[in-house]
Amino acid sequence: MMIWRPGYGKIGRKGDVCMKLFKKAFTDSIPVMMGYLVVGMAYGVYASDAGISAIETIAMDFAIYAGSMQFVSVRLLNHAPAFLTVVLLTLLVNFRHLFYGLPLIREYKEAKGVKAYLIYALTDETFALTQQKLDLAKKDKIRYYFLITLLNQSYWVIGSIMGIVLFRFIPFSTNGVEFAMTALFGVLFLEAMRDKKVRIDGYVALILCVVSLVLLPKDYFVVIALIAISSYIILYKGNKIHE
Amino acid sequence: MNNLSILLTVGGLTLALRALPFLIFAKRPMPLWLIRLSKRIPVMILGLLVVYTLKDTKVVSAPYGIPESCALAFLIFFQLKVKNPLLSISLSTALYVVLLRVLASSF
Repeated sequence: MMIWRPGYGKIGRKGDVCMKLFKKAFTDSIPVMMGYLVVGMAYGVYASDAGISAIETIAMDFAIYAGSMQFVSVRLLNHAPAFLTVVLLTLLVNFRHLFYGLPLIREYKEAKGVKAYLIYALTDETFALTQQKLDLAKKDKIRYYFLITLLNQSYWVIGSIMGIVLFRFIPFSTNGVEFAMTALFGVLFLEAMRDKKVRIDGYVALILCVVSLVLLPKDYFVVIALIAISSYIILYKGNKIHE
Repeated sequence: MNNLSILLTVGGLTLALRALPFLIFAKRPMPLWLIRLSKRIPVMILGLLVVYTLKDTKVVSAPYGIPESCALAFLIFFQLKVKNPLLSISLSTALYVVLLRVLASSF
């Protein structure tokens, strides 16, 4: 006989939803895990090799938490760089992060308590994962964003700790697994391109990026490409569907 | 600069870059051109990130970008046909790793 138990049923259902969300978040973040563990390990080894202490290496995972900038920072630590050098390098390397918030302003509006964390930990890969089509209720979406953000950062921290430890025992070589990152961006790009309305934009982005990579200085690639992409969007208004 | 102030400067600026759009448009509405930009830029950034992660590919010397091209071609074909992201990513990565090793020993 069925007994109606107020509360229990509700908790059970909520638990189920959370478990489902966690499973989805974990599955979706597996490519990031592969990439972050490997690149994080490379970072840990690189920092240890440069004589950076374990505490400083891990402190960067939290204070900075931006892959390429952490590699750059390893070269800055212990070298007493000028303030302006540090500022300009950071702005140059992380310029792209300025653009990640724009499509997420509305999405993160209801995030309340976790909003600050979601923004602080918005890396390339986390941004990319937020750009998939999600068939979730609004509240669950926020939970999902929180889970992938948290999982991704933990992969990164675990990876760099593994790197620090590995450095003491084994000579290290990255072996190509970091291609998982390219593949992740590639898959999300392909899925976005199924939408015919954005297809031209996607092709234009690829062309602009490849052209600026070939013709212009590689160190400024991201900044140049982002300026080119923004100018293209502003100048070429496209069809009204975007309005 | 000492190490602590480097960490704080880099970290603070990175956080500022990430938070700026949210701070600026917390209350006021986005201008139309920026709304358009924010709607159209995601697919273009994903394209940029693909190119960005491949920017150090050796094209003019061995292995001539062969592992990258093959793994990418496989990825595109497989994802469009099978539509399983996890499978596409892991198989193309495996292919890349194998090609990298095989070609490293043959050049």
